[in-house]
Amino acid sequence: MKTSKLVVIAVITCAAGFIGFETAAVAAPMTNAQNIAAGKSIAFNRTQGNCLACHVLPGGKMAGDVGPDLAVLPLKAIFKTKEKLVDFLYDPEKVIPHINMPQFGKNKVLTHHQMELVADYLWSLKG
Amino acid sequence: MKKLLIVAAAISLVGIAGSAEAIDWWNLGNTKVGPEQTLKDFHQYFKEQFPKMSLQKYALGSYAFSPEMYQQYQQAIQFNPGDLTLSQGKAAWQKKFPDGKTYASCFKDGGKGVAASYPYFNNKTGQVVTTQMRLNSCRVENHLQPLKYGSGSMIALDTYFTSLSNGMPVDIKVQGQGAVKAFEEGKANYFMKRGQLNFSCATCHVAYAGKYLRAQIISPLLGQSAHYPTYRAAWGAVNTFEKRFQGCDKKVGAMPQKLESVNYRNLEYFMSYISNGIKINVPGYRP
Repeated sequence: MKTSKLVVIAVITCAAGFIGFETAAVAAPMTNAQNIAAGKSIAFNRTQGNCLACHVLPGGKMAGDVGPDLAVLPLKAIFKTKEKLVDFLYDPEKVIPHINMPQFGKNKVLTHHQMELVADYLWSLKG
Repeated sequence: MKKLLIVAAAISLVGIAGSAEAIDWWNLGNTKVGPEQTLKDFHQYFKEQFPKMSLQKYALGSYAFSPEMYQQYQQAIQFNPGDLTLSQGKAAWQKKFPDGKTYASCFKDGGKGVAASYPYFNNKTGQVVTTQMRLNSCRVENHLQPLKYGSGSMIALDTYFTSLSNGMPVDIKVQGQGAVKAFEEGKANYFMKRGQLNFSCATCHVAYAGKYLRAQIISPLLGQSAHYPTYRAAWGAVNTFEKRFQGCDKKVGAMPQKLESVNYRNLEYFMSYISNGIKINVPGYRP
């Protein structure tokens, strides 16, 4: 997976060089905005991430308060990189032993791509 | 089980990334300190979590945590739809067997106050006996076919039998090696993480009692056994404690077990014992 990502990055970088930096800079945020929207939708959906069951998220109605408030939790400071946040979502217990949180990847609650989208969304939050 | 008290302190310190939540639940559930100490630890834990709440208030479940919801509850119980099931159970209880006897003949004091000590451990069979099992054995003793567990007629009968202990405190006994073993197994089951979502019963009903899961307030372990069989608006009917176990198992993505299975009976035994002292109020009413 990591190798393929590197290849993608390499291709994008080459393309950006080819087309010119400005075009790439415009195209990237748009894609990211779509990813963020898709991630938010997964996070809010009861049959998918259902993050709202336990966590407060900006704009989320009837959120639970079992887990930390994700509207204020400094996720970037905690996880440093988005990839580490995806790893955490995959198997939270591996990062924090015995934590009370579903293993979204390990137990196949979400696909890897869905977790990446959720991470894109969470990374876009203030914290 | 001293660890349970540490959990109380730890949960109040929700640190960065929830590191304070990192409690080894499996270990906690398998630490055998005996029933009495376990009960003491749980009662102490909840006292520290909710210092102003009296033991009897736990009978209200999640309603004890929200004055608004409590008001709705008071209105709802003006006419508890569960009372219909109760009267069906009463009629069945009073109906004479072919031999002229009734269910009352199987129990001390005609059944009054008996269910407060259910489930109990039968030393002869080495099994936890629930109210429904006892009602069926009463039928068999009187040459009748047993009723199907989970059937409407069994639920109604169970509801009436249990209501004969209304107002009396839950009074489960755990005495003797076999009883203690069944209790410890029920406790371990309570703390065992399970299913796709990987939650144990304790995850929600001990660690997060009184907190919100979406719009629902999570009820505490204490008092849960005292209102079953209960009317749940979500069911639109009265059903049993074990039916609720099945619902919880399904919710966390675990395979629900059969009603009256050894695991569920042991779980019921453990949970009911922890509610000792809390007054029975059947049929209860829940959202």
